[in-house]
Amino acid sequence: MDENADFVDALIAANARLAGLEIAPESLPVVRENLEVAMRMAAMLESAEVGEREDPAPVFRA
Amino acid sequence: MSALFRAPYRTLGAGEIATAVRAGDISAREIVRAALDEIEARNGAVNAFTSVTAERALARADALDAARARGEATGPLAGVPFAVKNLFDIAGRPTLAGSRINADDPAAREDAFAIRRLEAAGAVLVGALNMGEYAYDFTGENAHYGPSRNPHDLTRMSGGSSGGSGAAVAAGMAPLTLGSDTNGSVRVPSAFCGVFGLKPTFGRLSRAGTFPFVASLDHVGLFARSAGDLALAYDAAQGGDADDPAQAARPIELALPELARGIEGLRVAIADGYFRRSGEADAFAAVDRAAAAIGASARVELPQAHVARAAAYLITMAEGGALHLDRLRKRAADYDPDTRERLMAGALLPAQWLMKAQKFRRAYRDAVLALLRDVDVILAPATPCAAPLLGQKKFTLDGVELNVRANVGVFTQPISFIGLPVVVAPIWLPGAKMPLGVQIIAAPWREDAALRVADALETLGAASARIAN
Repeated sequence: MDENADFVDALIAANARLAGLEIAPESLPVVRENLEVAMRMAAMLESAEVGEREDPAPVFRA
Repeated sequence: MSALFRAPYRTLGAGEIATAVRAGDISAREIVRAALDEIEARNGAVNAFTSVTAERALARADALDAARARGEATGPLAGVPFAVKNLFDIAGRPTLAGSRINADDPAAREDAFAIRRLEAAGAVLVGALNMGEYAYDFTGENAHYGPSRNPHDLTRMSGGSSGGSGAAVAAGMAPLTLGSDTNGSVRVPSAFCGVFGLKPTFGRLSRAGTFPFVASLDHVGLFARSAGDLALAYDAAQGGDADDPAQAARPIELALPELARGIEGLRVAIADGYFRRSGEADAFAAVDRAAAAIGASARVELPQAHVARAAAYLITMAEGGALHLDRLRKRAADYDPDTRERLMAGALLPAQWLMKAQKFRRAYRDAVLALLRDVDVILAPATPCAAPLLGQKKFTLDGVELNVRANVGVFTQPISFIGLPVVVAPIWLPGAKMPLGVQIIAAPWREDAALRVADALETLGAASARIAN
């Protein structure tokens, strides 16, 4: 297992405990795979400049 | 079928049916009986319907026929059979949302708002339609109820998550269906099944009485076999509803009368950059075919579309995971594993990703709206390829092997992210065995512009919804 997989597995274990979620061992590889995709997406999002005063849009108006 | 009205039911559009029923050329009961027979004959192969509301439909048809006999108006959708994705509440039945878990829920007490609107216009509900579990899906596959199959090739995906909605229309079982679209769930099955689909502006149609997925991105949408039928049903579905807090205070803005204007005065452009990469050549050829038919050659580039897709992806994971957290704790074993593990991962995301995604949403909207000051309509592929085979897990785009379930929406997500109205027009390239779809994207509240372009493409023969044999 590489360093990144260790890191993601640690993240899953910690956050799942915080969320009260039990993740079965057979589910773990796919949960990890999905989190790794999310991390790539978040890195892409990180590249975007968004001002501090920009209002988020939880109830959105087009 | 009535002696005065001999066309086979499966070839009839919603407008033709309503005109014939209003004129007395055929009764609503005859049409509904034909619809039920068609479903009985074809659903075994296609698996689009998960339940059929035959008794209710026939009673409703009789009431319409009685109203007509009394000289009362029967509505613009008089006698038109329609069906809904099974995340819409139907009074007296649990709302499955594609899941096994929800089958244990109490029955819905009333119909969803959209069903009530269509029935108030004279349409007749004939059943509920298969979908991907909890709408987290682009394939139309379902571990509990089986896949809805593509009527043009039963070995291929219908698309998701409103797979049954697209398949029922393409198979001729219903001329009109409802679905929902969070990231592409109307537009992907429209493209894969080769039918017209409309995802209206975010906040246009009430979602009250539908099982949610991602509240900040969910839309109600429609499927039909022509742009005219889509406009007819869309007009009937509009209306204010205090039960959906995301619905905007807009007047009813009829689209059907606008179709007669054609595309005169509309500035149409082709989406460039992001929307010309990561797809098979045919997906772009379909866009070029549509553009050529209406003489569009200008190109525009939506700024940071790849970031918009990433932000939509993260919002979907986080909101979906949060919505399902309690069920994931209690009934994880009852989920489709493909859904469960995506939702579990979503429940673990850091909050700052979600907040930045929502902030970016506003910034991206402003940038795209600035672009839409110079262009009325933008054409883009609906999907990166035609319908994959059922069970296919991976595909290769631009030399990169990707997960099908997560990536079919690569071209739809940056658009629904900011709630723009989109019509998908089905395109059959010369010699093609399967259809493709082109997104016709307009500015907020300009569904009429997108529908006018779709109608023009149909009139010119560039777009068509074929009924599968």
